[in-house]
Amino acid sequence: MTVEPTASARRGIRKSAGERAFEICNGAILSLLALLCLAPFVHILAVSLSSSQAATAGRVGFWPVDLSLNSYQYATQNPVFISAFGVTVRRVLLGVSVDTLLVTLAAYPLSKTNREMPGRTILAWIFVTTMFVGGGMIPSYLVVNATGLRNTLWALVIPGAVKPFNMTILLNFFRQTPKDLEESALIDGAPQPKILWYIYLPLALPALATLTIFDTVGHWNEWFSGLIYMDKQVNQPLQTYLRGVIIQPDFTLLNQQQIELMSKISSKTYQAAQIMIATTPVLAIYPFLQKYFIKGLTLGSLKG
Amino acid sequence: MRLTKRLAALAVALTTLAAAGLAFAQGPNPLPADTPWFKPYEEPVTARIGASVNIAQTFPEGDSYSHNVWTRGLLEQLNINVDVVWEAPGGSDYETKLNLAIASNDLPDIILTANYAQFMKLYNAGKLADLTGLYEEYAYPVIQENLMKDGGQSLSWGVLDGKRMGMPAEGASMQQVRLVWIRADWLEELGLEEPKTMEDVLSIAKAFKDADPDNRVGMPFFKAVIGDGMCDIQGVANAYGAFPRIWIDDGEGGLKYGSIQPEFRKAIEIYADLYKDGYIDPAFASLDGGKVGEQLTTNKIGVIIGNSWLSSWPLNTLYDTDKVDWHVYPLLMSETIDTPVKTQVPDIKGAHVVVRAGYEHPELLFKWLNFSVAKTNDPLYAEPYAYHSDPPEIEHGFGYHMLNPLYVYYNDPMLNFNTQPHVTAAIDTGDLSSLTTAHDETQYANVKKWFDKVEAGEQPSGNDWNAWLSWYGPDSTFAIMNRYIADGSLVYNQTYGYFTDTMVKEWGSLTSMENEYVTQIIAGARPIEDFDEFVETWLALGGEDIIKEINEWHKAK
Repeated sequence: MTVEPTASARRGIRKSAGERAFEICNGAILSLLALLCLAPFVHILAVSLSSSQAATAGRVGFWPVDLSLNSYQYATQNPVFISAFGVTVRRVLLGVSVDTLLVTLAAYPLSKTNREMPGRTILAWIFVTTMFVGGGMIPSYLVVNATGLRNTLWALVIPGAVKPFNMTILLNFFRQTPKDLEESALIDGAPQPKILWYIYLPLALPALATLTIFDTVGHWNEWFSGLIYMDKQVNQPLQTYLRGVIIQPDFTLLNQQQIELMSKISSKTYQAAQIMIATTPVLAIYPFLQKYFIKGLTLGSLKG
Repeated sequence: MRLTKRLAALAVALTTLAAAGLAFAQGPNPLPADTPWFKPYEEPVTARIGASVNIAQTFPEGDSYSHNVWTRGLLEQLNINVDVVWEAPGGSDYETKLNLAIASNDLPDIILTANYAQFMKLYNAGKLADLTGLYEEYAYPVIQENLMKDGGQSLSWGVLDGKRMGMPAEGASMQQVRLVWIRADWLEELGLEEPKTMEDVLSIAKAFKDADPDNRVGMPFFKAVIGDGMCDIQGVANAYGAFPRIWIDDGEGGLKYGSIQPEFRKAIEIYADLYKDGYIDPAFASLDGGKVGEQLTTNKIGVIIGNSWLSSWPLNTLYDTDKVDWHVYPLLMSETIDTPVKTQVPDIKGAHVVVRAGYEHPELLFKWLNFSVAKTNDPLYAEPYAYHSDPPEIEHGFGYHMLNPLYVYYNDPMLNFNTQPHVTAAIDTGDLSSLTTAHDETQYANVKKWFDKVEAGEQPSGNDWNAWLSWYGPDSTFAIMNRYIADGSLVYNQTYGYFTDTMVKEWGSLTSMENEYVTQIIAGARPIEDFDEFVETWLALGGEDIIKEINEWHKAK
């Protein structure tokens, strides 16, 4: 790796006025953007912790008004919410493992040259094509139905298990691993699976961590397949349920008893509480994988 | 469908005010098992159904849409074994799910179509059982009677090529018509007179805004042509003799489309002027019912044109928090019109209940529908506790009519309307004999609560206020709607959800073009003269064919 004097290296010595102005602007704009991303989240958190009257009247900004935990209590007592949460957790665990396995097994051979792996270009193109052309909702449904996946957890996992985008990232990562390592293993007589397991995968950990995050978030947030492949609410994942709760107006609940009920727990604070509960696990994963995440994304620049 | 479902739910909610029980007991009278309407099957018969559900619905421990008071009741009392094969949230999700079932040829036995187009699609594909004769034989007379109250009009939509292929799932809802709501306290504060014409209503809205221009919205508005029961152009349009988005009599035995008539141009112009003068929220295109509800409860709005349910949401909340009372007026005619104002009844989707072709027990549909009506609203067979609430039900937050996997009730369309004179008479005279239905009694109790609290000098709750404003006296919402009916001033869509072939293809894009033009003209992005361009484009892009087809269909009837 050739060492070049970078901006940060020079910073220790002296900064020009222009550089400083640039950094201040940069910092300000980025902080503003970060705040923009944070604001809705804080607002939802505040709403979820407020009394329903305050939330319905729109008096809640970024700080809870009339602090109340009723909505959280209500949400965690709702059996449908709990079962949907369970479906999502199982789906993420199963989905991410299956995806990672399949993506790795697809990316590794395709990372080889055409000489080592005859037909890899054609195969790679077949994978890439699916990024741009889909089967459409009804044909996909017919396939899932005919293969007996409908109403099983696998319907949420198998149809999108091999994500060509993730595969391409991993494939390129494998390619950037020095060839010499593989060759030395070959000389020692290691078969390909062993080479993948002991050489390529440990070196690809940053990429795998990145893909795991993409995949976890993807599985966590996906709702549409839950709607079309799962016939009963008890089998539907959290986001399918939440979407139903949020887009469906509470007008349907209007009779005298329900109005009284709703006035105690306005759907607004209730929805906010459910959103908070649903978002937290994904947020919790980020800090742990973040260091890999950054490394993974900037991996192209590390090559010497 | 989302809207329809919401309104239908509301209508039924107001109608039945049902409470819940863990199981149907036999009512005051057992269902007569020797009649064709309620004769149980000898052996359990399975009926598969896809249910349109409310995701937020909560159930007692162990219950769900697939297993609840209805499925148990149908099994115990009629030997019908309900098998809910799938559940989908009402609206577009339900429509998608049913489309998938149609595409994979995996239809349930009893099907509630989302709209008329799906009904036609199933019929044209030969997937529907012929119900000719079954309705007359198996439908409970109360249902037949209730369905004849509109002259049998909605019933006739389910007859295709002379055969009964489906039952209408919704009637034109006379309850979903527009009313003018004005804040009583602001009216008094500014010393304004009560409105006599639509022009008065608009100037009151302007005066309210002018009194506190930074905090108030003049005329709440968010959906260009037809909204969710409030804040659209419909109320003002009706006042100027325009009937957007529906087909009306052209006076020569044919039908014409309301949105392309010159009267509608006038209504759009009024809104464009309101916008130009700052009386419409400039962010109107991004508003929705929830946000307008928020503006209402935070004292930003003083005039709103909307349906009778406004007092049960969100104005009751405002009454609770700030004791704000509202006056309700019928749609007032414009000074420029010399005929009495007519009010349009919202269009329906034309949803139908049908039976899959090849199902062995097509009459089962009627037994189920009979059971639904008998158990909720029939004075003879309704459950004794159906109309009374007590704490366990409030905890679970549901009325049991909401849990029926087949959400179709043929109730008396006049039930709510009749309650108003009954309750008013009972309050005024103290003679309770005028209360003839359980619904009357429930509402009487609520209104009585309002009067008792006022007398005792207490603050009535928003719900008491809602009952009082809905049912008591000549200025109540239902009294006004009763006058609409008595005066014959309701205008219905003359196609009742019927779709021609060209409409199946083009209607979606034509209506969105209509919304676009109207929105742009109101927002000042186009001059009002572009209304003529809209009409030309509309006619050229299929409108002309549709007019021809609609009129052929109309004359053939």
